[in-house]
Amino acid sequence: MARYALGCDIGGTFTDFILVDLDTGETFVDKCLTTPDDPTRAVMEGVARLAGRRPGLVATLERVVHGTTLMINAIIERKGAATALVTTEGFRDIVEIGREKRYDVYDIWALFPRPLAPRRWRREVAERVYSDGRVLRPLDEEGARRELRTLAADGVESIAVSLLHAYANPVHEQALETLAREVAPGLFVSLSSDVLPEIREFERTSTTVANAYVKPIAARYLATLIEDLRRAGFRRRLHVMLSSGGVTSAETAQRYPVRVVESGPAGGATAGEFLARGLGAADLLAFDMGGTTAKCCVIIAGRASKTAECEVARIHRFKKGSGIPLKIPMVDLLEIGAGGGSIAHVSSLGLLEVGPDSAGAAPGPACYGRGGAAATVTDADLVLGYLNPDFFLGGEMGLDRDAAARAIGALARPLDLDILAAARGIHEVVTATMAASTKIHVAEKGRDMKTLTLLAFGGAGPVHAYGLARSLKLPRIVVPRAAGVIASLGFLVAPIAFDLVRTYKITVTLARAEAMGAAFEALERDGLAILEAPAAQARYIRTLDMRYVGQGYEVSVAAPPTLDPAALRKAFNAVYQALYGRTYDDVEIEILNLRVVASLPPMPFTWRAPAPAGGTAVKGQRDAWCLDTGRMVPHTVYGRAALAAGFTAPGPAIVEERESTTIIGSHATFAVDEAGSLHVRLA
Amino acid sequence: MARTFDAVSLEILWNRLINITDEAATALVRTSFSPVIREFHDYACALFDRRGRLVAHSTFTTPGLLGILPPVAKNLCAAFPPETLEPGDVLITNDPWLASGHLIDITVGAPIFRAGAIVGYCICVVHHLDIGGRMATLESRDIYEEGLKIPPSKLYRAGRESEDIVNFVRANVRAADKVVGDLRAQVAANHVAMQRLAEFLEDLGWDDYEDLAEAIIGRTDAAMREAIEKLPRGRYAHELFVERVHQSPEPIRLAVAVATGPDEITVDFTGTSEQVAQALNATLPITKSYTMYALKCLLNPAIPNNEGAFLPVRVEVPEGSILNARWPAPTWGRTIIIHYIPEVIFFALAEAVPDKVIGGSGSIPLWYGNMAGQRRDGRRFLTVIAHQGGLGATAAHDGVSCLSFPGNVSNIPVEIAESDAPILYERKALWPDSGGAGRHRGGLGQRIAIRIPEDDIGPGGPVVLGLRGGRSDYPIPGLFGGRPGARAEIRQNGEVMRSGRQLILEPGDLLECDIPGGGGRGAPGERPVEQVVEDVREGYVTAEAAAGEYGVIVDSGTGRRPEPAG
Repeated sequence: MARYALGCDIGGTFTDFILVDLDTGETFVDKCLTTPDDPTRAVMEGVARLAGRRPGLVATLERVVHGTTLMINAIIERKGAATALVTTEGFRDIVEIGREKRYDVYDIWALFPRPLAPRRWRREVAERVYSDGRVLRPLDEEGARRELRTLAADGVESIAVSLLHAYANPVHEQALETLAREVAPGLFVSLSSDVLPEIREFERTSTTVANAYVKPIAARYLATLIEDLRRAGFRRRLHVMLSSGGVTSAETAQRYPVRVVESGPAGGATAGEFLARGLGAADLLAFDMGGTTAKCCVIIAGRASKTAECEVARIHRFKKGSGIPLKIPMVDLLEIGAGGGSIAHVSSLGLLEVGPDSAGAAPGPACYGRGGAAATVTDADLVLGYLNPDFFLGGEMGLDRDAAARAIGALARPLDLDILAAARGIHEVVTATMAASTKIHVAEKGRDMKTLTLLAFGGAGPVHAYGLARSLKLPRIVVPRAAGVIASLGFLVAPIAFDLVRTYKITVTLARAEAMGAAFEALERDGLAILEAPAAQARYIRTLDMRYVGQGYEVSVAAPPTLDPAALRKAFNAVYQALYGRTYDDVEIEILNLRVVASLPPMPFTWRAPAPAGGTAVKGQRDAWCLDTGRMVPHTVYGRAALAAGFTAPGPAIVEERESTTIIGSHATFAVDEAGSLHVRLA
Repeated sequence: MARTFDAVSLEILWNRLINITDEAATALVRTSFSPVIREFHDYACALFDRRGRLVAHSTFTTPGLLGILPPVAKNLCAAFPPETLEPGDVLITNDPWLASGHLIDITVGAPIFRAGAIVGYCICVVHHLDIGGRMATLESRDIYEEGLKIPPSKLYRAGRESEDIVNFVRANVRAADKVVGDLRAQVAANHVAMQRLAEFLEDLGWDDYEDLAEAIIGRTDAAMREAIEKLPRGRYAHELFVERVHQSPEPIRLAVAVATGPDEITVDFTGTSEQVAQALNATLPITKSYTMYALKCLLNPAIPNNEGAFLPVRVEVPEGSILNARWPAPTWGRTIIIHYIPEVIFFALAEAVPDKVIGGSGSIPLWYGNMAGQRRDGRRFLTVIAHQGGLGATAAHDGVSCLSFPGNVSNIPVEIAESDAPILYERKALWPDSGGAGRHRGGLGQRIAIRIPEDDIGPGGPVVLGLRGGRSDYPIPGLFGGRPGARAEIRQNGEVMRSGRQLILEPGDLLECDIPGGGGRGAPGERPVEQVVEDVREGYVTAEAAAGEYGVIVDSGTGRRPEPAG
């Protein structure tokens, strides 16, 4: 009997599906409109559609992995649960005061997001734990009961408990959870010592509050989905994609829903890791450009880099610092306010600028003909001949070239440019913006840009990849097939994995191998419990967050086999040297956190390119702007579905498919590989 | 022939130069020790042209260094003319009159060579952790008491570090490893800037970037003049008073008159108090920094900063004034005075640009303290205390609570502070009613309480704290009928202390700081009743203040307005 795996990603507009036959590698792709009032409906509708083509499908599904924007949207749109915070006496405003730093030096009007837990529901309890974990003041249980009762009576659904130094000793947080169960059994509870046992109270509290804010939503939604799938005949466990690039059970996701916030982008990065393996372990710069933002992720030796923090729901033009910080294990993505909908404008210096303001989907670019009048990146791409006005979304949506030219014309006049020059300018400026941010991002990782292959996906990614590769001097671009549902592919190839952290602050000199080994083992035991698998199958990766004493940032160091001071120092020095080019023997090194990634081996997975559709590969010719020669030249237009493996052709060329368009300049050639990916080689 | 640039190429090339300085800053931040660098962004990485004109600087540079960068490059160039420099040379100084106004800021600069000729300079300025001397105190009587002065010197000669200079620094500062580590981080940051500029010129096939620098500076100059042109013509004056600090005889007057000309603006500080014996004195470059900062916030906040922004601005300060002190005046605590410069300029121009200015801010001046002492095991500790007040209300919003301004300093997390130093925070909380009432309310300040523990988690003896803040005597003004923010207070074991004094905290002592809120804007009576009710419900405003300031009666128990009688 056939065995299948299903990846399903709920996005803002579409719910994407990818179904793979685990024995033959045969792949099916589908899309449904998202149903925001009850997202499970779209999922079940898509499942039913796929089952309609393959009767008995649901019972043969070996794995269903799900990702959703439900949590992130609840935070952005402030539609989460009525959430309270219980914290140490004297400190309920930590989550509102934040770090007290402005994110824009000159904008004296810049605002900050309101905390997800309003002040009236931020309650204090008498207790105190010290940085070494000892209890300085016992928990006032009677006072705590009183506060919890009031909160429950006030209509609070979910509480975050975040006490000072709870990472060092969770005893009071755990006692509060017990009290909450006793006083108000219906309350959802999130403990900072469970969600993020890590030093720095503002970030830990912010993360725990966000977890509490989405916990009831995640619980209800996933319970419904599990039940609906079960009724449809699904016999396995539902899995959920995490922001870290790992997959976990729906039950664990219900406990830590904050970790699901960036599941879609994590899927993109995980798909990048998978594709890298098929490309002979090439080092990649995964580049996903959509309507409002572009995202970049560095994949070295088949692994996406990770970070322990992110920021969501930015309220000021995507500016770093204007959002809610979350410390969650996360694929290290650079997000840039540059997408197809980004609006071009004339700056106060009389120069052409693009973004970060976006026309979004409504009113959208001028060429959508939905009332948008501002010139956007998509309008420029249309005027430059990159987009086919009659084949956008496979022809479902016509683009109005005249409207695009009018919008760009209005912008071009004060700049003393003609329409083509302005369109070219928009394309070049948005490319330069992305290149600049990408350079800093790669520099922060201490990597050499020139060794990377650009992996382009997302609606606008393959349109802009050529210009980006040129500015970054990257020799090669790869555009995978199914670029429109790439996140769902990532869900299927991701391993079941869970990241754990514990603050363990000690100088290297004082570190003792035995004690630290025991602390790692405790984390691994917790990890195994979450994996729910036989111990023999589990794999663990141990890392340490380390720094010179007094530094404010840590570097991630793979734990050496022995954890004695000499080995730790050596491991730290090697990483520091690679990142910054020097080390200091005269300065003490300290450990801040221990981390473990517990994982199971990934499911064996192959996918096969579909046989090329019949018909001729060449659809015709179109004039388009060539970045290499700096003029409009005829480009050969290819239909991607008709290109067979082994096909090669020189630029200038345009490869069209339903969800995207790949541009190839005149100084390049492209080829199609066995998996159906396009390889563009730049001269 | 000079190269020309259109609106697209100039935008792209300009941003690439800024990107180079940001990449240098990335290297600095990630290799530095000082929390002042990584948490406070109290640094600048900058590129200059062959003539030492500022072309671009790092995005997160603190406002206090804006006006420093143009003169410091020229002063280094004067000390080391091109013919005395060779590739691999690195220059250093911390002279407050040549550079950034107090010794603890160290400037490290380097010439950038291409094909044997200097094409420009890069500079990295950093606020260090320590520079020796009496530490963070206003009580120094002259600059000599304030620590080590480094005259313009070569830190590297042709790529070789000067052991002598490093040893001198090492011997004179506390936390020598970290200070020297940060100096090396500055060298590394400059190195990144140099490499990237070389790549940039290589890409373009240029010998130098003089034409680009000219275009950038020219375009910025023109944009500034255009913004000035739009201001209503006139002479706008204002003055404010800074309270007496510890041991100073009288309050300090800051007076300003801003004259908006056809395409120039003159900011004249005549009438400002004379320089003082305490370490509150500013040198001219730092006064210019904060003046430029205030003007940029009002005129053209979005344009990148460079030499061109300064050309249409004249800053006049009589020599010997507290804003243009004569050597060897002590200068350590100059932020106490110069942080008021934006506020005095905003209030002067309130009539001219009412929609752009904000009310007085409780975060002016910076609240900052250095705490040092010994642990029980004899190891020394040094930590920073920085918590800020609320911002003034804007024309459209309530002021933001607890936010650094005009400096940009983040706090040290309580959990980190308690791990690094034997102290215990008892409170860090918003201070209700501290924001001035108004149609838009001032942002709230906060109340901090720190205990020096007596038991075994405490220090081995007394702790020395050099703490400064301000606004204890004069109200934090509101605008257009808005009420003032609450006044500051510092208490040691309940006894009120004056800001600026070095405090000796014994084990068992309690230090409390009430850090003020910002001024309101518009008459309180115009604030919608539901916003007042909401403020009471959330506890930002007490029921008493709602009744007294806004005339709105709210039941503090239910957070609702009482039912109308009958």
